[in-house]
Amino acid sequence: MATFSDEQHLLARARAWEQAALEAIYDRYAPGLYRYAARLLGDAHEAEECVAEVFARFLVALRQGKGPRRHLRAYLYRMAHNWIYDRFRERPTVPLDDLWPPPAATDNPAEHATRQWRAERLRRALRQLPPRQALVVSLRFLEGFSLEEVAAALGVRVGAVKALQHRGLTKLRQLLHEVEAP
Amino acid sequence: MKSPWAEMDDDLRLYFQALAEEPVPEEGVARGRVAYRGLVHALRPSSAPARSRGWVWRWALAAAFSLLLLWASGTVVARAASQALPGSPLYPLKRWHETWQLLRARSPQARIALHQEFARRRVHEMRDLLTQGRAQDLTPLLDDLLTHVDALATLAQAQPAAGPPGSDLTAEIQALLPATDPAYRTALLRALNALSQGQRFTGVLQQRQGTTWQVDGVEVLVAPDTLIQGLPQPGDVVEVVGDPLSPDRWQARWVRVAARAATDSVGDITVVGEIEPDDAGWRIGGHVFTVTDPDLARRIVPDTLVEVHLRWDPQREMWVAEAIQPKVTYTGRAQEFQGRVEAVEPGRVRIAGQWWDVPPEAKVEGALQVGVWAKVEAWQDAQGNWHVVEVETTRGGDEAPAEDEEHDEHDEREEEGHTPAAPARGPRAHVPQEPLA
Repeated sequence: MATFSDEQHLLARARAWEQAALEAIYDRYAPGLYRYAARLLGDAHEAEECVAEVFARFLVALRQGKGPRRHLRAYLYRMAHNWIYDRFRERPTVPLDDLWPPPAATDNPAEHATRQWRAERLRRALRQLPPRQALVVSLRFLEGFSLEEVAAALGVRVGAVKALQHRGLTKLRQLLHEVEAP
Repeated sequence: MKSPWAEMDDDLRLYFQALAEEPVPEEGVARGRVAYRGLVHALRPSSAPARSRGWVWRWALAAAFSLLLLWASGTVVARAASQALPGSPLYPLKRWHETWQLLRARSPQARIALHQEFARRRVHEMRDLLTQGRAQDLTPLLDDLLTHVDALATLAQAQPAAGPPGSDLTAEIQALLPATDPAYRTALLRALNALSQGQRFTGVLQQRQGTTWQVDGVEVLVAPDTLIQGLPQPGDVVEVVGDPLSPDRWQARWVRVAARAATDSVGDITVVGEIEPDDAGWRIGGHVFTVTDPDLARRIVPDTLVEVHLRWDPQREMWVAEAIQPKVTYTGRAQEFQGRVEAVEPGRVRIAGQWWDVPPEAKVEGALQVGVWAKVEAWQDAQGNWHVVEVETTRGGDEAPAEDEEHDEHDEREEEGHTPAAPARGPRAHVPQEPLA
């Protein structure tokens, strides 16, 4: 993972519109952002669109002398998250309970289907969380962000991140339990 | 490092594990990288000169940028550049994206909506530029506005069910009129003309009585919000755009002078105006004529300003062109105003602090003397010289000429913001003009 000073140096070069630095930023962060978007959206094409928009916004912001001064990774993920939740707002909420029934995990194909089923249910449940709780939970547990990094992404203190995380997980348990209950 | 999943119960961890391990196709990242490089190049600061890398590299970048537009469905560019004005590095992106959206639009309804939206954007951009004192940058925006408006008019004719295009747009263009220079007003009025979906006919103005005009036997009602271009006089050929109330009664939305009244109908005449094709040959200033000399015929360029010497041919019972000379190019700037005559010299006159050329063909009514009030119609050539087409003076020098009823209506419309306001200094502009024939 990039160190803070490493990221700062890269960002400074990017601000000077050094092509190698700008490309390095893409190479470093685009794959993770793409996976993140694909997991939450459940659609590879939309994930592509999301990453495209995030990086184009990033370039435009730099070009206008705006954009991040630090915490580049957190900045990019926050933009991606905002884009994803903007997209969610345009669509009706998908209920969790209209998924196919959970397959019996007796053999490998069934295990595979069970994982798919769980992934899709969690994706839908995350959509029902308030956006900040969803951002905290997804960055922490899907992307492996530290509490400090999440705090930087949200622009809040670590204590607030812990509180959001707690509320997010509690709500998720509630949602998933309600749906899973026969 | 401690796994964050350790903070969860087993059940929840299984869910997160399933989503985190869900396979994700990676091709999108590679596709995006090509497009991203194109955007990095496209957005590079102009102060940093691009290295010369040959045409292959440039084409590759162009292709990459096109890919970006395809890839991102263009929305990011639109959002990022939506506030950009001409001169901004993002403005070309905005226009590229619009072109791309139009290319993607499949249905006529979608194209109508896009043309309306883009025309509205041009109007907003013009308004913003005027606020910044950048009136000189309006021309390309006007061109694009007219392109969208013409497309709208064409699409609306083909899709009558879609309704008239853009009443909001019409209102926004009208709101812009008072703030713009007469030269630009002409283009804006053309846009309004194209947007007005009324029917139209052309005929000779026979009589003007208040708000009721007679055009080729048709009673034309002129309302306070009717746009009037030129100073239509009895005998002029006028184009009327409006709504027929009955076969012989129309409500006018727009009246413009298509051609000035013909002078003599016998003998030789010289006419200056835009030459247009006609079923019977050619037309200029309301005169239909033919060209018998093949050399002369080859020199005709339709829709250009020319001076034509015509001879009446009694055998053919029509005008025949004897000579055709191109005239100075019309710039699109024209105006009508009134002011006190301050100086008179051969071939020119100074009114309201500015010198105006008075060519021999100019129509002068009354004595052009220092101190009199004059109502002037003039146009500007490509060299920036103003030429008087018509000047009308009053006998007394102290009072402005009495306005007729139609001019009173103009004044009311100015107060309501419908027509251009008088400039703070210089000649008072009444009505923006079409090219004066």
